[in-house]
Amino acid sequence: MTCEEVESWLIENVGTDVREDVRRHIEGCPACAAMEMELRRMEELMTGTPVAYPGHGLEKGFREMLREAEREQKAVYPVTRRLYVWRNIAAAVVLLTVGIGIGVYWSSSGKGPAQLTGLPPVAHPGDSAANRLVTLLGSTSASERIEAVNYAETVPAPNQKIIDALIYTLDHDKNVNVRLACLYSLAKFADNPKVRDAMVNSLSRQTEPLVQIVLISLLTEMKEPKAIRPLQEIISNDKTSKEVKNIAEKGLRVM
Amino acid sequence: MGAVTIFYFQSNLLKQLFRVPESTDEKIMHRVKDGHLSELSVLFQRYHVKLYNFFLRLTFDPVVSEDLTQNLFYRVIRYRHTFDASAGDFRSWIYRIARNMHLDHCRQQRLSPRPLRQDEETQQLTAGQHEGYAEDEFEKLDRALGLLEPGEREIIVLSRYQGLKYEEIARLHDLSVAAVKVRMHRAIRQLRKLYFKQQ
Repeated sequence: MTCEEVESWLIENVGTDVREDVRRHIEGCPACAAMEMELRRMEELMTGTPVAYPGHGLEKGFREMLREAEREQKAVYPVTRRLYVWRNIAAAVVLLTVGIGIGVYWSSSGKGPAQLTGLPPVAHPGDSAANRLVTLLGSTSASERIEAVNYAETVPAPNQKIIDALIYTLDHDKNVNVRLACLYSLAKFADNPKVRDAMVNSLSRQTEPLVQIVLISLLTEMKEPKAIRPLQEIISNDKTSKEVKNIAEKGLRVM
Repeated sequence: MGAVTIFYFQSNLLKQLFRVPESTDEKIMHRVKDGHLSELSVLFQRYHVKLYNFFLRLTFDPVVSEDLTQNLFYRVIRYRHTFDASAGDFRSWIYRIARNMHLDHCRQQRLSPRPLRQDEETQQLTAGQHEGYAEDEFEKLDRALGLLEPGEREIIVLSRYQGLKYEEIARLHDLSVAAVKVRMHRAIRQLRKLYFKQQ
């Protein structure tokens, strides 16, 4: 056994009894004996390092976030929660009906999906909620842009300008957290066909795995058939991460 | 009736596809996803000190570490529906988010994760008592840890301070276990050199 092999064994098998052949080598090799003592001392220091505790503000902040999320959940999803109690049967029926309805509408009207704007949102006089959102989304601070997205969720009946601003931000914001917040907000308006189309289109734009996973999960839950082709493209793309491919494959199986 | 039967079978199929392993963290997360948000408090109690210490050993800054831990749980609340127990356990999921957050933090500060300078910021971390070793021994080790390359520091923190197994670290880094072992050997060798150079 070489000195290098002894070192590797000692590092790899920290905290265990020293194997017989390693012990024999150490007894006959002063350099390895010294190394063993040094490694043991370092390991004891590392595992014995006292735990540091954060201030009480951390837990207080967490409780506040949790309460806020619970309030939001109750406000936004009361109907959804009741549907869940009915084991999603009603949801399936509604989705099916809406899907058929939209399909009939598109085929009878001869229209395609709504054309999504590729231009940044702009403020217009007389639309204070949308204007405020557009202004906030233009902030250079990511946390302020996330606040803007949260603000959009509080608007009781968001108009198309607000939806467009969220869609634009989902596709163009450089910060992944802002895009995720946006996606989460847009999911609440998933009964709007334009939002669903925007989410499908965004599948091929997003490259951040976390955003891709959320997007795929949401579209899978919606069982959005238009997502099938983009999902297949994601799976066949060599640049897609392993986790994203797994989620996409599961999504396809569900759809 | 036929539609209901089809839906019943479809539900069972979905349950099989997304089967949740028999693990308490994962069960809690499953319930949280189902809308029982208050149960996240249990996971907060289990993980917040560990994760705070994870950030602390990477940043050597208690204030930043508290902020990062707070933001981490914000993300857990916000993106809870992205947790997929069939893709890995909760611990791997939350550490993966934590790693990404640390990298995001460095990017936002326009910093690369960096080695620390000698005598910088590490003294306060080990204030306290411990058996067997003097306080300055822990300070020296922290200084040596701070001088490591960021990747080496992270792998040691995950393994030795956070107690993750090599298999878990391999999953977090998308590496093979053998590759993790090689990196660990290199990191420990370097730490030993830096630590004992101070003696």
